[in-house]
Amino acid sequence: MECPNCKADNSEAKRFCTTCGSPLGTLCRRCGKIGKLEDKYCGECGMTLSASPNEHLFKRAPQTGATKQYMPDEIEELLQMRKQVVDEQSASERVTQNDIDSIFN
Amino acid sequence: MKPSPLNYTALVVDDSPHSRILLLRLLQRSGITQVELAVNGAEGLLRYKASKPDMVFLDAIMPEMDGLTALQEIKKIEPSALVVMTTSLSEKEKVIQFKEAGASYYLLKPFVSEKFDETLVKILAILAQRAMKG
Repeated sequence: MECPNCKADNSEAKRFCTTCGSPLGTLCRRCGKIGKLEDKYCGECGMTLSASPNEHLFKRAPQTGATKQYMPDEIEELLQMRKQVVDEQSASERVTQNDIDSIFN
Repeated sequence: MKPSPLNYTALVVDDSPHSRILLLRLLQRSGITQVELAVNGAEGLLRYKASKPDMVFLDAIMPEMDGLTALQEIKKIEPSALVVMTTSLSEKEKVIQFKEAGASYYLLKPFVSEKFDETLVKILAILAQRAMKG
């Protein structure tokens, strides 16, 4: 299986690239299972696997042996983007039993 | 022969032992004593094919075969099957997906016993109506 990040070849059994550590599939945000990159839904729990627009922020960078240093404004920008993703996820239209009853009636 | 709850059969499909026992007790308390239990969608489907229960209580997230697939397969076998989803999935998109796949009711876990009873009364009413129509 080719790594989508560094293109290194990995065996099918691997879930993360042995060269750069990137996921070799799409991580399910609910159950943590990793499906194929082309999967639309998680085969374990049925969660939609559509990629978040900011998903690239959570991919691992290639391992270089050195720890990247961030400037304060970069950290602030990353935190803002992370907050945006969390907000998007939490607002993904959860419904109550009353809402469900309306849908089913 | 059916109108008494005693004569109805139910199938509970849930991978959580706690949920299975809870649903079993709630059904038994309402007079439905013929209850089969299954631990995942695949086993649930096998049991459904074998015994064609009057009502099914189906979890959504399960190993081997999830609730949506099991629901779709049950509906292929019996389009009028009464299936109640019992799940903690609360995304509107998912709820609509189950509705469109043919679920009759949807109980959001954790639910109170009154909500379960209310749903069961509706199911029993549908079954009684069907029995009257013959």
